[in-house]
Amino acid sequence: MRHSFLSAILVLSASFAGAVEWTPVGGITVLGGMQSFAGERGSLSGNADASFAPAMRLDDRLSLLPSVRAEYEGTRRVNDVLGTATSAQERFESRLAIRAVWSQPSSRWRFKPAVAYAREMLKETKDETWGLGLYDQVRWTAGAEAELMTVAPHSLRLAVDWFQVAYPNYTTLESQAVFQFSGQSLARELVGDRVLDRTGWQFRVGGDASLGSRAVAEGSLLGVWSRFPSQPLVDEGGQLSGRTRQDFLTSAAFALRMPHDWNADLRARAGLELGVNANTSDQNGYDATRGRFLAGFYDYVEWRVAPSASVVIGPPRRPVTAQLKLGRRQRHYTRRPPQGETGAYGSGSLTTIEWTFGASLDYPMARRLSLLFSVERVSASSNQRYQRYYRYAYEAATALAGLRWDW
Amino acid sequence: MRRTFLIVVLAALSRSAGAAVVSDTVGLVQIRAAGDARWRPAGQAARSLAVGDAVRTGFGARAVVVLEAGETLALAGNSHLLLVESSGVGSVVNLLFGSMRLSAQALKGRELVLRTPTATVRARGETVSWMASVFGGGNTVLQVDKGLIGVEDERGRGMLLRQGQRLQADAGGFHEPIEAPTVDQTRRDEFAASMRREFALELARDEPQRLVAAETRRADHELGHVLTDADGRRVRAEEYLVRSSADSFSFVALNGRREGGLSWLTWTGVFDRALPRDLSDVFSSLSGHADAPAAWTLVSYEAVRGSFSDSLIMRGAGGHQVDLNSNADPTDDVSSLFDPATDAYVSVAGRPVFRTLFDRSGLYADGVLKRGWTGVNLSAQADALPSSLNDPLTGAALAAPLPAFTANSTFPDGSATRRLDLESYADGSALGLETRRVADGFQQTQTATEFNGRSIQVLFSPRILAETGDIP
Repeated sequence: MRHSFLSAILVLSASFAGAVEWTPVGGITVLGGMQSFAGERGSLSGNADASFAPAMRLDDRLSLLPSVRAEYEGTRRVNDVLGTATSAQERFESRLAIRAVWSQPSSRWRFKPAVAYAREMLKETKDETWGLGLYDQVRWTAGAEAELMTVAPHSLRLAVDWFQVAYPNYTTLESQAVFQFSGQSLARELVGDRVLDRTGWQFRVGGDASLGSRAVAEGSLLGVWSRFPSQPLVDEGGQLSGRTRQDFLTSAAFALRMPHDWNADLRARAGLELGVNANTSDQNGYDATRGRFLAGFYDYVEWRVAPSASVVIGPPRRPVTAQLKLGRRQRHYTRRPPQGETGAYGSGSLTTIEWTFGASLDYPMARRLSLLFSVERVSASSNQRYQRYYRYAYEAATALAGLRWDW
Repeated sequence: MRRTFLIVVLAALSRSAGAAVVSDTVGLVQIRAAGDARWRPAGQAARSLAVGDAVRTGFGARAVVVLEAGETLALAGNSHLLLVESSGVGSVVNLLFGSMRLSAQALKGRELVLRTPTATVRARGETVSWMASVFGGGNTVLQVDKGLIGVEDERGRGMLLRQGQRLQADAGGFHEPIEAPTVDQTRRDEFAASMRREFALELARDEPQRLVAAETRRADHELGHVLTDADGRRVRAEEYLVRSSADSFSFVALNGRREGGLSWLTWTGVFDRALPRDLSDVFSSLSGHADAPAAWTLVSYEAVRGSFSDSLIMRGAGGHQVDLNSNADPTDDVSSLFDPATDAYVSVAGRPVFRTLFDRSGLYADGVLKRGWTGVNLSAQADALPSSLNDPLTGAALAAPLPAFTANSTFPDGSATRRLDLESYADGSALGLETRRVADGFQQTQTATEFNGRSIQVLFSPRILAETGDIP
């Protein structure tokens, strides 16, 4: 009986595999490079990114896209959280996902449910080991996207995802210190343990369209509602309340891309990206050494603008692409006051400004194989002078060179 | 059969009118008559098309246009076609956007011309079939399935395209012709391109979570929850207040290390009256108060450096405020006070300065009294009597008299902020405290004979020392 069942499964699998048309999608990028931070040059390291997705067309209506991705970062990029100024940082992320794409051939709508699992490991200091990093994360995401094809290749997309993020190695010290010492507890009542774990929903509306024959516009609006079920709110007296933290992040982005062809082998593309992020949280901060309550500690608004220009030389299938990009990012913590060099609180609100500059070159060497060069530089400044724990003003640069191979 | 007959009849009729026929429509297909601004549905039935008329198709729709001499134009979805001319001499059509396949047999010298925004294509020979697609910016892709076609770009440059060849033309002119992929290959390429796009969209789903995670980590660093010790190792830190009663509070600084577990620094004060919810004023008066006594008097305190194995505790009781600049002891005069509002010392020389003196105090290492003092309503610290036979706080008799001790401080590194405090006791025991300035604050290592070789390491903000003053 068992034998027959296995045989039936094998026969079914074989017939199914025969009917399925599959195409591998993916690529490998390997870059070696170096980063300097605040005048200190880091050691030679590198980044690598490998992905593989055996796309399967089950029939004219349904396709499946299982995927796996592994990413290693030994050289920090300028858009990372550089202010942590940790001496040695390495990151490794692995991700598994499956996505279905369903549509009627005559319909303009596509429906795409998806599930993803990701694990990120982070080593910030030399004494941290893989898998035991304080900020290691495990992420689950499940949701769906509906896409309306407007004028090919442009579309409108609406997506909603549920997520759960856990930090398996992070529990508060306070929760570890819940014991009686000399008749007195070292912890506050209602103390939470896994305070960084979060769960919630994210919503995204996005799309792109051509503006006449000379420009393409892209836009997106994103909302992320995060709940931290183990993180109690801090009250005015620095004590913990019975309510737990909730954040809402809103992000809007707009990009305009303007291609220009001088001739068949010389083209250019100008781009302009604009964006705003706004985070609102009901959590507060409390500076215990000063007995100072910091309402709305996590609230901020951030504006971004990034013009860019690319030159594309050579045939469309294998062009040489050179790009220059400039960026400015200004963050305004709406309710967090800046501090002086010793930590004394001033008036106004904490503001940070980042200028970034990037230059990259993509040089095709063979079919699907390209040589990559990238140089990035960031200059950050702030009215926050207290930088004992986090660096708000710094100069950093990253140089990378390597290869990319695409399937 | 009936349908074919109708098309043939209409085509024959249109021949006399110099036009074409639209048939085999699927989905949204519209026609705009020459000179008319409105688009009207083509309908399911075949209908004639005059010169100057335009046809467009919606997403996923398709239609077939039969020209004067029987040439067929199979129009795909999202396409826009204009009939410029169709007669016995020849036909000219404009493809403004989208895709279509042109097929002709037995042309017998008649012209079949396709115009796109960036190219003009002419059929060469009797039988020909080619696919034409027009994309954004007027970019045109031509692919010959059968026969030969002639192509001209906007600059007048021309070339012949044979069966199986593909050519792209844009505002800059022609690209190099390439061998066209097979139908299967095209289908696979289109699927791969579609899946690459889906893969990119799939990876983009993680971006919001990366953003939130980066902010979470950033805020943890900003709050000083992760520090680096003098040896470059990670130290986790949390500082908070515990309000266990209305008239007291505890400041707690916890440290956690991968190897070594938890260590802490706590300071608990009990005052003579209920404290306000906002403790900033209480903090500002802890190190002393100029001109007048502080509103709250610290009655007793306990300062602890501890770990799960060991502890060093300083306790004080019988606290009362004394104007040190007006008492009988000129050596305890205070010339400057720490101002928490500005994190600076301000001059108070010559002004009354009230500080708390304790009548009873003791220092304990793992519960063993090391030293202490007693007094009665002390007006100067110098008046305190060193404890010898009794516990200064409980009054309990000691098993043996407390040994005498000597204390000294050294600064072993000239280039770094490092201080060693050593208390040597006559019974051979010792207390040692090493204080080092590191980037994130002060790191203190407490040793004691009673700890049996272990030590307590704490890393904390230096200002708490300045504020409380009495932390050992």
